[in-house]
Amino acid sequence: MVATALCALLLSLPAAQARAGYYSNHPDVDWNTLETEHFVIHWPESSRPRDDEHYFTSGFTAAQVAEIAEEVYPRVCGRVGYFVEEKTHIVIYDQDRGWEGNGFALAEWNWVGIAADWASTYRPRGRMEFIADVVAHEYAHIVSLKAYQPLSEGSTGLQIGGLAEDEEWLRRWGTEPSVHTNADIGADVLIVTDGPIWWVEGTAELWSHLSGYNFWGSSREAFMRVHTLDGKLPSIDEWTTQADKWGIEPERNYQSGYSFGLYLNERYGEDMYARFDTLSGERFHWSWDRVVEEATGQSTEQLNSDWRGWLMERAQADLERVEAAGRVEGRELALVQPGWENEDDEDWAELSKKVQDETMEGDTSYQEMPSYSPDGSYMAWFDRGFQLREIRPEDWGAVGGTYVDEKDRKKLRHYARRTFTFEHAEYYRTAWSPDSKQFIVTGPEDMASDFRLEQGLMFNADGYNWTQLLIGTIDAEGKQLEVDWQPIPGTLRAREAAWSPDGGTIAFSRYGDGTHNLWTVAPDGSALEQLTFFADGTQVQGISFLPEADELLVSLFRDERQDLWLVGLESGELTRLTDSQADETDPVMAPDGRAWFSSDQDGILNVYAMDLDTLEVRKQTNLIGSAYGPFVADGGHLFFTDFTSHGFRIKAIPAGELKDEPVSYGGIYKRAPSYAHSGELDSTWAPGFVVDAKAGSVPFKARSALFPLSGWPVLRSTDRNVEAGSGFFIGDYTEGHWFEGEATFGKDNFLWLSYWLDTLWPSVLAGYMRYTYKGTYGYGLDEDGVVETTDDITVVDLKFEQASDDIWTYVMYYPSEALWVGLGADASRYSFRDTGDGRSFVPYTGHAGFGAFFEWNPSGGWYWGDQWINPRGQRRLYVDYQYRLTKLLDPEIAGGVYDDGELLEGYGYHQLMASYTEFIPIGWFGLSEHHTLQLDFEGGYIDRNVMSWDEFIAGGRHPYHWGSGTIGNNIQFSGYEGWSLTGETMLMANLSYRFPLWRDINAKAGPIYTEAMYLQFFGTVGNLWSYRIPENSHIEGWSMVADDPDDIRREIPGKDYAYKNSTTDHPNYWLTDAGLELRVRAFIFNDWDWDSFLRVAYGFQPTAGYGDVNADLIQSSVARDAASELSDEVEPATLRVYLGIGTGW
Amino acid sequence: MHVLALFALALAAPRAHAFEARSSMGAWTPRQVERDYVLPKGWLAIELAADSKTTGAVRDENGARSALDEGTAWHYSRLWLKVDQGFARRFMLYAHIPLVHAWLTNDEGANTSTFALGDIHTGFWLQPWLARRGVLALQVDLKAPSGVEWPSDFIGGANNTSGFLTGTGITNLGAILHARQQLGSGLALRGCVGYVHKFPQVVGYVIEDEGFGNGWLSAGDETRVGLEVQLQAADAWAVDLGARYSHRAVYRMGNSGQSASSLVLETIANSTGDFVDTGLGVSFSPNQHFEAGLDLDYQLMGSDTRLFGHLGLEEFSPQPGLTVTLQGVLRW
Repeated sequence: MVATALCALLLSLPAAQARAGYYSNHPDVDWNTLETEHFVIHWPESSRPRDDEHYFTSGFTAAQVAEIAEEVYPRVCGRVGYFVEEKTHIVIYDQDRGWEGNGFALAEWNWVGIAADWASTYRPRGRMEFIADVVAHEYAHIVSLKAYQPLSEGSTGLQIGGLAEDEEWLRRWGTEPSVHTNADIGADVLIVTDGPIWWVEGTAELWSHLSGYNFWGSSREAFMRVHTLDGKLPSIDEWTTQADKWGIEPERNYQSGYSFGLYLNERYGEDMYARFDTLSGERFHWSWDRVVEEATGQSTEQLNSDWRGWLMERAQADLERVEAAGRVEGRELALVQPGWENEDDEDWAELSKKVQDETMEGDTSYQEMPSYSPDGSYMAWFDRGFQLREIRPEDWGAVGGTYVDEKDRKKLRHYARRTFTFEHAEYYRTAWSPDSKQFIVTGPEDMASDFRLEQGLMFNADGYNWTQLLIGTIDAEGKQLEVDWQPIPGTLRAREAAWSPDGGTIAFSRYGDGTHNLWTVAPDGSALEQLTFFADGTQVQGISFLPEADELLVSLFRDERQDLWLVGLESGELTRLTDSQADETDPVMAPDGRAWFSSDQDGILNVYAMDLDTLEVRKQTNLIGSAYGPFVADGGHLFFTDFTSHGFRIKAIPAGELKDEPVSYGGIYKRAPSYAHSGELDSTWAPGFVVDAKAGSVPFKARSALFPLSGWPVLRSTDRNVEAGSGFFIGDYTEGHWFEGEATFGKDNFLWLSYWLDTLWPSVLAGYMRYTYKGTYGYGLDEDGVVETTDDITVVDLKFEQASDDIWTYVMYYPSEALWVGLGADASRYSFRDTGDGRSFVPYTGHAGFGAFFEWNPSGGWYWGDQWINPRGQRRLYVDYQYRLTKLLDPEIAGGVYDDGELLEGYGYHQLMASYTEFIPIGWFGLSEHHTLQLDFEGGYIDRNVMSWDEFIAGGRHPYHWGSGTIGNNIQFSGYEGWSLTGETMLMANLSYRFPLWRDINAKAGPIYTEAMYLQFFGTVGNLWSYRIPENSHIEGWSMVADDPDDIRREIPGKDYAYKNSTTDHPNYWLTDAGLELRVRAFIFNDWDWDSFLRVAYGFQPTAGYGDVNADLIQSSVARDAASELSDEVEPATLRVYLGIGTGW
Repeated sequence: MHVLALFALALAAPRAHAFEARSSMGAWTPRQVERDYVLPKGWLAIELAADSKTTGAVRDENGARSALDEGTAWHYSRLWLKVDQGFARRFMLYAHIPLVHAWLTNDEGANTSTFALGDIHTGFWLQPWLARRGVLALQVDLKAPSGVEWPSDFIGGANNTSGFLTGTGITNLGAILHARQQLGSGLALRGCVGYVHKFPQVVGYVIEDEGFGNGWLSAGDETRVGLEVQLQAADAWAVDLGARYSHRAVYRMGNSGQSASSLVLETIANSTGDFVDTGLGVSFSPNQHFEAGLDLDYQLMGSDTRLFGHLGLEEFSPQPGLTVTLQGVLRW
């Protein structure tokens, strides 16, 4: 029964389905399918009227993707001589926000997903050729990950696991443990093909490069240069695994893999990554290093070392060149002088490199887009969201030379109060009103108060949460700097904005179908007008009004070039300023009347200033990193983002220290009109696509676009038996339908089927499970009925089989990224058979229920980086209500419950359950980091007495039952036997304190990569209470279920002890336990979570109950008292051990 | 056969990507005599097979055929769903799921039958060298006690039962070494030798004489040897002829005694046995996606088959007779 109930609980609970390409369902979107020779492209288009504010199409993007994909096909397949015959499905996502600038590839499913929009995320690569780059990159994945796979694409892995529970396991193998200790030991191992991330991503980058896309530009060169010079390249272990990386770390692996590939090709004169692919595909290798060695004759260590030397030579050459011309790179923007910029800071010098590196990386890798109010009073920038600070340019140490003393708490507090933070703005340069009292950022469509945004408490009924322009009005009156927000109507999907010098016009770029266009609007939302009519993938980046306010300075990506242009506000004329091989980005008009911008014209992205009248260009910086997003503040001081080995950092250079050196700048264009405002493109560049997506497409049909049927073989062991089988999954590429299941066979047989429907506003889930379980136990026949005498006990071996059938359906909806609600219904039937029954199962209970649940999780359930092993600063609330019915189909088998002389037939009841968890960061006044205090509360109430299987159940759980990588709270009452505590009233409070033993281990041994170890202490107090007759006893049956409420009374928490789980001489008013847990975060075969734990818990109170209470495999024949079916067995206060190897915790 | 038809339809459907062939799949070997033991990488084979045996005899303590009462007949049929998957180039996984129909007609013409899930076999084949004239392969087979092990009555005997068992209640783990040597272009010699261990277990059909409860059965381990000649009669047709010998070690039965970690077992008299079967088969493989076959197997020699005969446990007590097997395979 226990095992049956466990699985039923596990599988009937809805779990949020992970969807690759979108967050909300969009039944208002029509999917279209465009088929080419080697690809099937599925693209979305709104079914709403064209004048609807949420209308969109991705037809142009689809046509572009079709052309590029076919162009890429022979080039990529030719790298390894592996020409993919099956068609690859490319799904374009453009309806949701959240993963712009990204793509994914699942080779075994022939599936590529790309976002049509790259928002602000792609800028650091320099030029904005996102679609071509992402298509080439992802298809390179498809080819390389098919060619390298020695295993069947239908099942690319094998899962082997097992769980040994309690002392039963030891006893079943003939061992009699001398110490009464319960041990639950589980293990779960995945066997998949080894493919380190440096090779996986490096190949995609390299092959797309060699195919003519995604080339090695100056931004990548800068990336490797600063990392090489600063000794920040990933170690030979670190670069194998990606899932533990965050911030700039994943990019280190990408670029390192790409660079390493280029190095190998140069060294060996052939595409060595293609050779790796071929060798790996021929046979299974337990380690990728063996593949490398077979291909090159060298160890990975040796090659890695040689590559570092190769990089250092290049970096040193660049460094010498830069230093010869005089480095001009400014200092990082900080109130307190950073230790690494202070040569006199001895404390800093004494720190280990690891501590220095971690300190320098800080909490963010992305400080970007500085801008100053025209009067020089306020600075805005992005650093974990939008930041606004009241501070003069000269008050920054990087400009004025004087930093705030780190001990000057008063001044630091002052700046903290004069700083405003808003985490929900996009990373685009802030536009300022002429009077410096207002500014514009790009914020969410579903704008709400800070509290509601942070906690995810806004209701998003239509599933759309695009961007819009927000005007922020500075409220500087109080001690704390505040901002009042006002959306500008009609600006959905706006990207960057600029505010005219006269304050009357706002120019902004708007995204649509892979293209940007310029619009103008008045601050109140009136006078909305489209200025350009690009329909060819043109990208607008960096918008600035010329002083006369008659033209806009922008950077456009067109004609495969990133150049500067001027756009006439009245005429709509488009005038080219540059036509160079260099990338000119992030232009801005400075107070000195010149156009400032970033350019890599000499191989390194530096800041330049151009006089628009004389066309003279002067170089302002001379960096070893690379410059983005320049902004010149009042006084002529330059603020910009420099790429460093610890991420993107805002730096400042005082006006007097700027290089300001005239340079010969090729490709300056004459200021002559080249584009008339006609609505038709008259350009030197036409995309030349022959594909007409709309005409060439057919409506999407799910049945014609199914993933290949796939599954993973599974081998599990429980109870000294082995179950073998397979999971399987199938669905359509737009994820409207998803069907999965698992079937395992053995002593126990298990079938689970689940279907998701995501084509409606809510998601609909339906499932079925059948589980048959064969159990064996000993029945201890005690001749004299005296517990103390054991010689007269004879063990009778008993075997039985149970079956459960469960069906469930849920309708669920995400009102926001933090909220999840649903309605559901389920039904179950339990059956039994043993000797004498033959093949027929005898049903003995039936259950049904319907209800609703609500979950609030402001973190959205995402746990990245350290949050995975140590969630902190988060909270989760879950509430579940159900009305349930129980029917005793065979009361004799079900437990023979009598009420007033009549066999019980059934009952209905209400059940309410709630849990709340708070993860509180503990800093100990800065003395410790990463410490977390976790509080868990769990309560439940059933409004009548029910039979034991309908009651709430508690006790220690091993996570093997719950799946690897699950973040759950399995520590509550782990000092007590699993599933041993039951009752109709449940109250539990848990407190745990977690801290790191060893972070950033980043060491690989065999296929195991270990990342961190944490220790946590915990303790739980609570209990589960039931019903009793007025005296201290249960009578006749597993639980007293009375028709007449006066026959029984509810136990009251705190006032009554819980009779059912108390021994005769130890009333348990409250149960308590305490323990500690060691958590190890690790990965197997590079990026598969493989987390382990060791938990030891002590339950302070002895407990009692039904059946084999002391888990010695022998169920006593003696009842605890004359009127009860409770066993006379007692589980003493005891230590419990849980070990999970690769099972999660 | 409608399931096969459904799959065939799906394979033929344009853009039915769920069953689309992939470039990474290994090459198919059309001729049966040249085929490896493992499926090529990436291939999936679904087989439906039906075998049936009818007999009017058992073997006595001397292994001699002893006729049942006149009019009494024992029918034992299985419908197999077999799934084989080429998991890697040299490694194949499989799951073979039987539905068992055990059926006894007694001398009065009354029928007693049971139709239920039998014991499922899962396992793997590992073949280190591929596509050679002589190859070796290791098969590891796990037989799980998934079938019905519950007698329908507490009193045994043919006249008292109202149902049969479809599973032994016991887990088997076997290791079988297979070898194939191709002779000329159209002949292959195949052989195997294997050992199957049967784990002792409490089973539902062992019942304590006094009181209530079940008991332990330790089934005798099994040793197998087989030899087969395969002739490629035509491009699509192959014929094979072979013989198999198996030996079963002694069976024991008992209970836990006075503790869960003790085990008191006693030998079951006359429970060891030796069996020899011979078989003739023909297979038709017109293309890489489809194959059909017919096998005839006959028990030439055997030991006492009465011990578990009344329960219908053919694994322990294979009754003498002719088994006819029809099979159809769909591969992609």
